[in-house]
Amino acid sequence: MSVLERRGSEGRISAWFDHPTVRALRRNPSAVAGAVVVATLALLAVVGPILAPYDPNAQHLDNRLQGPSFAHPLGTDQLGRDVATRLLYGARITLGIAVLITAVRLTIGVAVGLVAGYCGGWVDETLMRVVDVLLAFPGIVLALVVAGILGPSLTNLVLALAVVGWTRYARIVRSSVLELRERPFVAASRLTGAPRRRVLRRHVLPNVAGPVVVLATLDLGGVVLAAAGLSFLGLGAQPPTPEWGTMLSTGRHHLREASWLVNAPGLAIVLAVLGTNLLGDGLRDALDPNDRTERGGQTEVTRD
Amino acid sequence: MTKSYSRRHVLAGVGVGLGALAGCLGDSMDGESITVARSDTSQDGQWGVYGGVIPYYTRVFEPLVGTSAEMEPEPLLATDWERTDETTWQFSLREDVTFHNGAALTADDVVASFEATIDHWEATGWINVEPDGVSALDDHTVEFETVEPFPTLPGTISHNYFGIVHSDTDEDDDTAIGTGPFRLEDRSGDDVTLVPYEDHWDVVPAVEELQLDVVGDPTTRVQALEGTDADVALEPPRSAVSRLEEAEGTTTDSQLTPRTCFGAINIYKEPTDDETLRRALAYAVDQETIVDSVLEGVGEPARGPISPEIPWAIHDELPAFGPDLEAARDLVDESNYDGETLSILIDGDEPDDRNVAEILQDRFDEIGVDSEITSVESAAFMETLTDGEAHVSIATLGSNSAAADYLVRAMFHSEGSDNKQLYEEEGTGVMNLGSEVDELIEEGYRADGLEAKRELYGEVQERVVEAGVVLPLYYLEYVVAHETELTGPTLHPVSAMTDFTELDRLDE
Repeated sequence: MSVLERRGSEGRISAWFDHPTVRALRRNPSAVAGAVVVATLALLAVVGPILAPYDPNAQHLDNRLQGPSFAHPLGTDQLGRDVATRLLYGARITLGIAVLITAVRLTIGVAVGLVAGYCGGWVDETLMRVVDVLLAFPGIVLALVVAGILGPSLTNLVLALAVVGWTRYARIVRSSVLELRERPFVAASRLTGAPRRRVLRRHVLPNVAGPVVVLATLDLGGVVLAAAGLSFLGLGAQPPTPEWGTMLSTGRHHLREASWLVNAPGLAIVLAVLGTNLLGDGLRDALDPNDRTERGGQTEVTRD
Repeated sequence: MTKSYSRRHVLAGVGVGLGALAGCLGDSMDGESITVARSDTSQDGQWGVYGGVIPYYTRVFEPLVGTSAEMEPEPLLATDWERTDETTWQFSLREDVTFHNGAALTADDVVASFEATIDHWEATGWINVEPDGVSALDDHTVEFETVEPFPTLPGTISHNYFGIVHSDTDEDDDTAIGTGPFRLEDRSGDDVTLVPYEDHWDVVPAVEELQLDVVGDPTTRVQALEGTDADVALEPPRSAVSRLEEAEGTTTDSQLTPRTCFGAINIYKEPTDDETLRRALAYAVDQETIVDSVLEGVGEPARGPISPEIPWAIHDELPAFGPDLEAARDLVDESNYDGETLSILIDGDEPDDRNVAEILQDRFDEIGVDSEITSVESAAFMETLTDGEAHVSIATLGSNSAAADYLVRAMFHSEGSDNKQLYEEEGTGVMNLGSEVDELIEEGYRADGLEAKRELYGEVQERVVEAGVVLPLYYLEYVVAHETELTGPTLHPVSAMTDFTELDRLDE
């Protein structure tokens, strides 16, 4: 029985809080700060639009570029729209697409890594050469090219960033699988005649979950940054969608007169990236068995 | 005690006194270097044929024909010109013109210059002249043979690109030899240092040195002006104009341009193929609000597709539709509109267009017309427009020379560049109303005299506005910001023809 199977049987919250990984996380102040930031942003993304007092797209041209006030805590933009409201709606879009892109990357990368690592032979060779080719290009440049070819839209932005970012998941999963497939419990399962799919699903996949979760958490911040960057360049959300990168891009034209147009989405992006990175670092330390007793760990996770 | 003064002391004292007096009375620009921060252009880095010197603003090179403030051709290096038959033009050159290297301007220089520039810009399709279609009849007469009848040749070659360049010009040696009032002193990439050409046939600039630097970001240009890096900033951000105007040390000058921003409506794509719906959209647009908000008041509300700076524009005679949301809603009800989503195409590199599109989207929404904005990169914008993929495309079009006929042809003639592709492939187009308008445009093109042109092109403007083929938005204005004590950036409707020869500093 794998470690994660045992974990799955412990459903109660108190038990969850006592879990060694969570305990290790709780002892790490920066990880706690990261978790709080991420949780707050996620909460705002979910309930923000309900709390927001204005329509994010309602224009009030006679109320343009107004500084922060009681009625508009973060001011108004060049078309008189409430910046705070647009920021809240933007959280849902920016964080939503970041989660979606990370999920797509994770799914493709884990699938490719599992197949390559477990099958070996020419399948492994072929898949890893594809990974090598993709890794040879700087990710953001490749995403720019893909987004440029597909045309600007949120859907194409997701595709562009998903297509180029799954390779690191594949690499990490493959190397874990290569190690796991020689472990006695996997060999035993194979010897008992368990089908390949079952071995992968029941014994291999749960044991690669740790590094994958760490990578995904760290990746999330990079994806927020990349998505905002492509939107900043006009390759993502289309107006009037209140996406953070787009808000930053339109706000820069009024930098001198209305710095809040840049400060608000800029700060939101910084917080999202910082929060996910702190949480990811904490998770990496917490999930590393060696690190629970001493600093430094074996699981090395690369970032964008 | 008696103090004695030698004759040398007395003479020195008189000299200093006279020098100081001359400094007070004389030209205060002596010894002055002025720095102009300009925006970048998409052709920067491609000025090899001009020795690396941008032909805009610099006046290192002069064309045969100038563009007057009324946007009409006027003599410059050519004193006059005549059309000797349908496709042949003769230009007589001034005889007192010398290049910066001292050589006299001859017809052979003009021929060599045109051969080089036509080849460099692949300009045959633009000016209708093959490189070997320019020839010297004598030392001061040049003949142009056009590939087809081309009545607007003089105006077309008034474009800055057709400044006369001496054949010794060499980008690699930083040698740029023209005939203009400024000559090249130094160059670093696209930044140039110019000094007056003392033997110019007409005017010698007052400024001792003119530095033209590329500062791509408009906000940075303003910061350079507000600091000590620049004395003049071309095209500051509109949002900064009122601040610069009110500040003690800076001021601004502005000039309406021959450029118009408009919504190009695809009249062959459902549902904008319905004239009633198009007129509804026209009633919904509030041009004044767009100018006041997006342009910060820098610009003029448009009624037609042609800026009043172009002499045959009929802005004053065109109807102003709205804004009238009630009338617009009634027309939507009368139309065949059935809830389709209109696509509004914008050039993603134009922040103003994005804001304009969002305002239009909001107005359309108010009259019950659904729309979405599609942003494409600059390079793909015209192709997307001419492919007919959008219902409304936010476009800006204008002339950079004294020949603006191509505007009306490009937009509204079936064989014009905006319509040709779909017209030839499917018999449709984008903004072409059909054969009657085509004939009006062709007659206007051939017409002699401004009145005849105005009548024919005026009819075209009326028809396209009445039929809602375009949503006129605004006429562009450009702004030059400079230190308060400077005078003389002489603005021209064509912003690239802004002249710095009269630049001067006010006496304190």
